[in-house]
Amino acid sequence: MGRTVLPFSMVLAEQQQRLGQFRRTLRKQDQELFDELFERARLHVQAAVQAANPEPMESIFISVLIEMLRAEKHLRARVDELEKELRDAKK
Amino acid sequence: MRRSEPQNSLSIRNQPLGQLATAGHRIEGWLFDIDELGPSVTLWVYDDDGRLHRLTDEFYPPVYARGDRAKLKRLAADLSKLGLIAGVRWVQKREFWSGDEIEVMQLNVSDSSYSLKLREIAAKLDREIIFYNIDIPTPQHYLYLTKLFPLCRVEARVDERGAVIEINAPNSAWEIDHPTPPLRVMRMRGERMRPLTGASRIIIATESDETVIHPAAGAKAIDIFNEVIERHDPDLILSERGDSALFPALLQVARREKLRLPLDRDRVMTERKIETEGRTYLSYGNVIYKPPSYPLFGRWHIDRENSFALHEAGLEGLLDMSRLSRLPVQRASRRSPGTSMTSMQMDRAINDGVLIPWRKNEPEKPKTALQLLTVDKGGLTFQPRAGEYENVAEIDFASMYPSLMIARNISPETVLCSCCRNKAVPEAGYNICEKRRGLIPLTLEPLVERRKVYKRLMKSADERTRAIYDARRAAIKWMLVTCFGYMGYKNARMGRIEAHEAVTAWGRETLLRAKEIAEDAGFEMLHALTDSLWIEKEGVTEEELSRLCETISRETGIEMSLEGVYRWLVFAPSKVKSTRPVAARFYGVFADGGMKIRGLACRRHDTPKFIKGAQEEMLDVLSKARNIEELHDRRQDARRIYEARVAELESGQVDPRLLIIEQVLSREIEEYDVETRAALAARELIGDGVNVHPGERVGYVITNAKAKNKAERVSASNRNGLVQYDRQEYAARLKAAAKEVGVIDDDDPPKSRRRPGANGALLFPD
Repeated sequence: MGRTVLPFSMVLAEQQQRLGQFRRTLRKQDQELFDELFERARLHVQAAVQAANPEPMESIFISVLIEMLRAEKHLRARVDELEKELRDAKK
Repeated sequence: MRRSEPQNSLSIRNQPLGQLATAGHRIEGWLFDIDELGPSVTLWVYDDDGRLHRLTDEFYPPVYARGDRAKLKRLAADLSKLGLIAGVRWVQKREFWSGDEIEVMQLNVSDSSYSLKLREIAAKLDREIIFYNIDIPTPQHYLYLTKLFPLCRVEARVDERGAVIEINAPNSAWEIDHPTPPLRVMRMRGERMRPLTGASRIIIATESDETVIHPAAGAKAIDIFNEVIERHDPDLILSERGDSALFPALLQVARREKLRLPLDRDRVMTERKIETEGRTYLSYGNVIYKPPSYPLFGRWHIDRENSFALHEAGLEGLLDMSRLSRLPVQRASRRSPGTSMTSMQMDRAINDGVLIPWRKNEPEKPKTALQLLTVDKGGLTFQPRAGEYENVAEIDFASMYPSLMIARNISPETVLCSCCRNKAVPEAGYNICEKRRGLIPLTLEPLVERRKVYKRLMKSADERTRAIYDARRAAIKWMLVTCFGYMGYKNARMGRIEAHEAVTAWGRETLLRAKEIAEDAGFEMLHALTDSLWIEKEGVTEEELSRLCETISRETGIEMSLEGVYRWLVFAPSKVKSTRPVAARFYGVFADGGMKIRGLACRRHDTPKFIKGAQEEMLDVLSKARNIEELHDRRQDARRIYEARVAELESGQVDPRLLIIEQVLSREIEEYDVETRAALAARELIGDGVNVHPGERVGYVITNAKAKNKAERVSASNRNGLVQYDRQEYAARLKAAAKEVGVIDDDDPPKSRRRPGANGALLFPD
């Protein structure tokens, strides 16, 4: 039984490929960051599928943003923690 | 049923022909098997003294035709002239899709062997006349109408020649406890059957003895085989590869030696409907090879390797499936559980006076791309964050899809019915009939109920009974599973893709609802897969979880139950990239010490036994860990197992039979562009005179993965221990298996086939 709609993991690969020239022109270290962005979107594949959005990049962007926000919150908490440790050490 | 011309009856075993024959005598016993035989069916009945009777009952299968009255009358006259039908009358029946009462012409086929001819005629007329019930296999059609079923108790009155005057089954196929009738079983297996050489052997085992025959010995082999069959007179021949290798070899030798091979108990010469040609087909994107099949008359032949039901549910499960579905045992054994399910639906329809459409005449309604994007999604498949977890519980919906079909009345004829205006189906917005109960829910409901009863009874049953109940439960499970898939199959005559979509839409809705309820109760969702949720909460208790399950069951209308609380659980990462999540690759240990494994090497079919065994050994060590901290310690112990197994591999002393990799051939050998190992192996077998078909599994040992001469890369036929295997290649595979369960680290990153740096540092910390 063939599926008519592409699995989202393939949509993701397709979008990545579509931006092939974009990626190619990036500096090497930035290419790695580019790849990492798409990796992060994978965690939310199911949400993107459920959205059934004909413009998949929108779902991909939001997935990536969610992960960036998570990272930011994580780092913020970590900085607060370290600052507190530093303050305590000074006392 | 009307009877005339009785057939001859023979009572077999210690009973000379005809001795039993007294006018209108009664037989009580149980129905062993049923075959079709021209204008009758043959019924094999064991009486309560253990004597087998061959009875015959005339049967003229009723088929129905709908259309212009004058045209139908002409059709009936033509068919009568051809001798294809034995009776005609007008009857009222219900049309499947609309549920409307309609008038149709009933035609009784005069001889079941004419049905193919009749279908050819019908196919030419199907623009003007619609045919129903025209392609139902005769034995099961007879059973639907007489309410008999395989292995039922039988009370029959027969005449002096064994023709049935009256027959009925006093018991129900749905009885929870039914004794398995005593069966004489003979087991058959072969060694080195392909290619057939002097080394080929067939081993025949009964309870009392074992006989070995060498098919290459010709006439002698056949004589011994016939003698064994005659002496033991088995009810059941349980073979390994009887369909694909043993019977073809025996028949070939018998034919060459011009000897008879009386495998059947039926001495009446009939045209055997043996599918001597195998066939290859596609299912869910997999190429599958169906070997030829050798069912017998008056005796069962079940091939272990050609019976999904036997493999999954054992003989107990298969027999229960055969009873419930009214499919003769040998047919049920060779067909998928989906065929049993379809048979139950046809049984239900026929007994409700509903006509069974012959060909699919409800095309898929056109959809826009956006509609397709919305409905063609399947079950929810989350991607879990790879990592190690504690305090995780798994909760599952019991038989989710069948339960949804029952609870929401989802059936091909109820989805998008023409009478009700609602938008019942989430996302898709399809309407579902509120006036008529669907055929699928009607068929499923008693099955789901039966499964629950067995589940409940298993708790208090003794070990033997529990094993029987478990087998029957497994059989039902598979029937339920296939029911859903078949509904969306494009050629299913009672299928409708929108019904299939309705089920998955409700499935997603139901799982999302469960996720929300769990999250409201303070759980974090780690993972979700179609009908299961993995949820995490610090210090979670079973009591709390059973409350949660109750709430979810109540709110969704589908029973949610606790699969278990894990001591620890690992979601393994993708092998391509260590941070990439994978939907179904995990392992963990439940509070009761039981381990659950999905998607690891030891669960994949193409993993050689040695590596499978080594990974299982490592997992066994890991399973002793009570928490994540202990898991890390245990990994050190498991590492020693890994090292010992690597040393064994590298010494070259491992039995190559343990290193056989089995793979399914996906195409004809000429069609391979790239010389895959499977293709090389197949080529070697063909060179040895063995026929290999797409969909068949070939086994091979990797001898030199990088050899310039491709023929040296693998070895397919020499399985007896003389092969030199490729040590490096197998060591690398073992390493991957160890890495999969975290026993060794990513110390030396694999030579990347992708870009360098792809395995580099994470951009985002977790």
